[in-house]
Amino acid sequence: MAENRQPSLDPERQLIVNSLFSDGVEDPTSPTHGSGTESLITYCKVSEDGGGGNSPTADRSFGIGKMNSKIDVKIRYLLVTIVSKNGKVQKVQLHKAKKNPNDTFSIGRTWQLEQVRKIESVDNITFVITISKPYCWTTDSQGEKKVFLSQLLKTFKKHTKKLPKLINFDSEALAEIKSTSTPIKPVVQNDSDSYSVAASLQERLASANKSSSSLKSLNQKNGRSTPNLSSGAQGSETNSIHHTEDNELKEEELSLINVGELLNDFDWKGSGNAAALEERLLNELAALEAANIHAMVESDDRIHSVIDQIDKAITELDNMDQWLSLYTAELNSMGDDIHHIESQNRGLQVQTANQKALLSELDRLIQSITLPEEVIQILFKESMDTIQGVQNIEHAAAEIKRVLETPLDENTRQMMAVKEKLEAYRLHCNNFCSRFYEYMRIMFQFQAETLMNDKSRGPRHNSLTIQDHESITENLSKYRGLSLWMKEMDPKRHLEIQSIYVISKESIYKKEAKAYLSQMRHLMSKRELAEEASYVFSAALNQSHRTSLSYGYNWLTSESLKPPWEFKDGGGGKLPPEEAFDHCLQTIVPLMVNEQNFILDFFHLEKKKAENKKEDRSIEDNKTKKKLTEHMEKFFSFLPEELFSQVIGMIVSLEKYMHANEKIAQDFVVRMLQQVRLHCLSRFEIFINEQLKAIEETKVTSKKRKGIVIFMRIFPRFVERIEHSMIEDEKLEMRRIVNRAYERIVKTMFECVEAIAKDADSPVDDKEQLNAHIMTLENMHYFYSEIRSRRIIILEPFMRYAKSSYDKHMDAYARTMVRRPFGKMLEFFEGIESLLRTNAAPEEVGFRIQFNKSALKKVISQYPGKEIKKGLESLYKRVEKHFKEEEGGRLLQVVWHAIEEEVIRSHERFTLTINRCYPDANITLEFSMDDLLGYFSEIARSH
Amino acid sequence: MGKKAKQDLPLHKVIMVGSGGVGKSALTLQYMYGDFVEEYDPTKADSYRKKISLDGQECQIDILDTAGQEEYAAIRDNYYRSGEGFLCVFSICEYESFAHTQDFRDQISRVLDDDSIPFILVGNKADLAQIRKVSEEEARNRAREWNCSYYETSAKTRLNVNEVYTDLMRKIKSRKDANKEKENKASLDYLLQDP
Repeated sequence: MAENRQPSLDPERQLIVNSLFSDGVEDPTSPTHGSGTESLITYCKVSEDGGGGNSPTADRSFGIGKMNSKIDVKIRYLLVTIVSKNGKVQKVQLHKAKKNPNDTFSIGRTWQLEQVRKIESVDNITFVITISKPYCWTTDSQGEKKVFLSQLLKTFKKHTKKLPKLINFDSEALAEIKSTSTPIKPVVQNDSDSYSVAASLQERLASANKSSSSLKSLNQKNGRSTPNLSSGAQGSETNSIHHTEDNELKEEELSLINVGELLNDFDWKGSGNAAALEERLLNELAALEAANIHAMVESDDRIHSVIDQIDKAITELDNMDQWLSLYTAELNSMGDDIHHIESQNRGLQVQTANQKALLSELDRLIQSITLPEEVIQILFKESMDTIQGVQNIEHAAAEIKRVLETPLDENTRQMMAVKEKLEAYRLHCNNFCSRFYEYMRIMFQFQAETLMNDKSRGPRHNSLTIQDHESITENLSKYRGLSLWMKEMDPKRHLEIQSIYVISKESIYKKEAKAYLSQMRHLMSKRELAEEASYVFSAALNQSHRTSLSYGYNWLTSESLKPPWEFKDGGGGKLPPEEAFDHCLQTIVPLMVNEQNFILDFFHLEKKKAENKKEDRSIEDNKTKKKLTEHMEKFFSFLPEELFSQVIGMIVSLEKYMHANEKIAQDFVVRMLQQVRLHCLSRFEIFINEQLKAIEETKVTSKKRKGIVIFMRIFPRFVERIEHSMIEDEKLEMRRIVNRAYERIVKTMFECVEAIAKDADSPVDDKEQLNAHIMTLENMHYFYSEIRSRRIIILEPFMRYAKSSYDKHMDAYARTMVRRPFGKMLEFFEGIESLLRTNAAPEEVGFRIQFNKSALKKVISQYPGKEIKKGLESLYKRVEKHFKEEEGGRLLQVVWHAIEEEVIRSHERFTLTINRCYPDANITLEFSMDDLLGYFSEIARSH
Repeated sequence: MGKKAKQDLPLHKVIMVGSGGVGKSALTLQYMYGDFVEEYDPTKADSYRKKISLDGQECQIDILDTAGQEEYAAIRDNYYRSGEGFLCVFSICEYESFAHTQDFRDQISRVLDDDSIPFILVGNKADLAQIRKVSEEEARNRAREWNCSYYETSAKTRLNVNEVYTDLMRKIKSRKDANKEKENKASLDYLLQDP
């Protein structure tokens, strides 16, 4: 319809229609699918500035002139379309489209035409349409703008029955719009909330064309409208109203006219708002209805009887109400009662539950502290002789213990039943304790007696040992559990049992150990006296005194390669003392250890140390430790005494065992051994002192050659003997003690030997002096070689000392001996030598009377070769005599060799002196070196 | 009784001869005491005695360790007279010491007037083989010439130390036993002859 009205068909329009609104193509932008066909009413080519047609109002006041010159201008097409379906108009839309390069169009935005709020004409070609915001568009020409806007407004008016707010439209344009549409009042917007109501009313009023004055006043009252618009509108209003109306509109107008009259009646001047009016109307209506009813009621007589009836009914109802309230009160009190009863009921339930719980608790309690009768019976009657019996008893005992130790709080304990029960059990328990105690007492005694009377256990000849007490241990071990029980239940009696055990066993140990030791002593005494003399100074010296032998070796020479103390047990049942002692400790210490372990184990004195199960046994506390020690002391108190009667070497054994036992915390054993050791050490000290005294008292004189002094001979054996005992361990304390003893003895011996030499030095007795040298060098040599072969490190300094002493005395001996054959000659030359040492000039010697040539000649002539040879031969004989006795003359060759050397040295000395002091005398010794060597060879050959 | 017992124990007298520094004392000390002394201290003369077990029989060995550095050989005569067996030692690292063994051998023969005396030629310091100067062959040839045994020993490592002494003692012992038999036979002959 609109299309028909379009005066011209231009190509552009055709393009738009083809591109966007061809027939049968649904508008893709339309939100209502299948809503019908859309057809173009009018279009306009506009240019839009860069802001998307955005033209803020602020811009407008000063930006109008510049609009054309805007750089960023886009060409758009504004399209007004109408969507219709089945011939009915659905909606009117305003599109903004752009022309694509291929002459098609695409729609950029679409608005419903109703959304247009305001249209403002800016200048000839520019206008602003405010929809959601103002858009500023510019047409190509004034005509285009005009045509488009008027088309737009017409369509708007036609389809929405109103107009948007128009600004800056000239009256002419408006008139044109009005002329082509229904009479319309331009709507002047205001922002009040009542706008829509007012507007709709206004519209109706306007279209009803009731009175222009009222509309005018309305316009003026609401007016912020521009004067020209309203004046223009007013001017044209009345003239144009009746021209174009269709039938519908006419009917509407008629009803509106009625309403207008009515409103006048209500004196509504358009000043009150619609709500007030409505209220007034409603009130009016209600009043009318009330009046109506009133009239109806008054017009009927029956109404009185109705009212009476109603009154009666009311009275009845009051009555009933009273009754009801009575019932309510009644029911309320009943409700209270019921509530009370309910709560009581609940309380009773709780009580019942509690009592049930109490009952079961008591049951449990009684259960836990009640034992079946047979348990008690077992405790009293079961035999303790069999393992089964003991186990039963143990079980029963555990039961009763469990009961007695059931954790009960103080209140429960106060309960009579519990009290009585426990009392009874305690009594049973106590009775059982006594029974067990008695039984154990008898048992211990029985075991001890059995052992004592066991003939097979006595000391036997071929087995020097104490048999262990395995049988007792075994027999008793089954009572271990009960012992533990007793310890916990009746510690006092447990202690008593312990002491009974100790007492009964003590006698066994005493007896057996005594028997063992006496046997041991018996074995030892067989040999001791006989052998001791060979390695103990004091004994040896006594013996040597008794037999008054001048040479010690006579009775010592029975030596064999094997020292006597190495004879083992097998040979005649002899035992060297320290081996015996070792054996002794070997026998006794394990017994003690076993015993301690057994006591610990059986009487449970040991703390349970589950977490660190080390080897060492840590004993519960000092108290039990003390207790244990007491027991052990009772067992073995006799031992130290017995052990004291042993020999020195036992200290070594003692220390060894001490070390071994310290490691396993066998306190008592260690302490006992320590005691013994102390005693032994003092014994040893005494012994060493005795030895020293014996050495000092040895009569060593230079009057008579005694060869190797007796103590020198004994010493190596003494050392060997002690070392034999010391074999075990170099780290023992005893090592140092022994070393100190060695030192003291050696020092004393050396002092003794050298004292001889010193004594001999003062009286110038040739023979004694020689004897002193001989003895010293012999003894020192002996000491040196004996000790060296024994490799005792501690003695090395003494060894070296002995060696140097030997050398010194050897030298002295040789020189003394050489005096025999060369006495005067030696004196002569020694005189010269001492002269030379003082006066220095060798030539002068010859001028001394005693050293002149004739004197020299005289001396030399006294020693012809024959004499020398004779002298040397007799010298050899003397040396032989000195040394032959000693050790098979082992030193003879050495000594003679030393003398030979001394003779040769003397000859060299003499020759040298003659050459120096009498160079021109042409005097020589009457024997040459070759002569001397010849003499020596002859002597060598002659025997 | 004591004296008798002692005399019953056979005593074998061994004499160590050889030049100075060849290790006579070292050998002796190693044999006697089982130790080795590194430092050299010229020996004057020393006598050692030790009880040993020789082929199951107890006996004593008496070792006379002589000085190798005497100026005059003759003063050794006396030793030699007392010796029953000789260990003639040289150092395999010193040829001169080997050469001197001839002198010792001669002197012993002269003094004892007996070529059959137990005698062993000993090349010591075998542990120093890397500086050997005397070949084993040469030494063995000389031993063969003298009709005696030859050992190479080391006093340091104890190589052949016991062996050489034991061998010498066996020789001494068998010689003594032979002499005894001879004596017995002689006396028997004498007794037989006498009437």
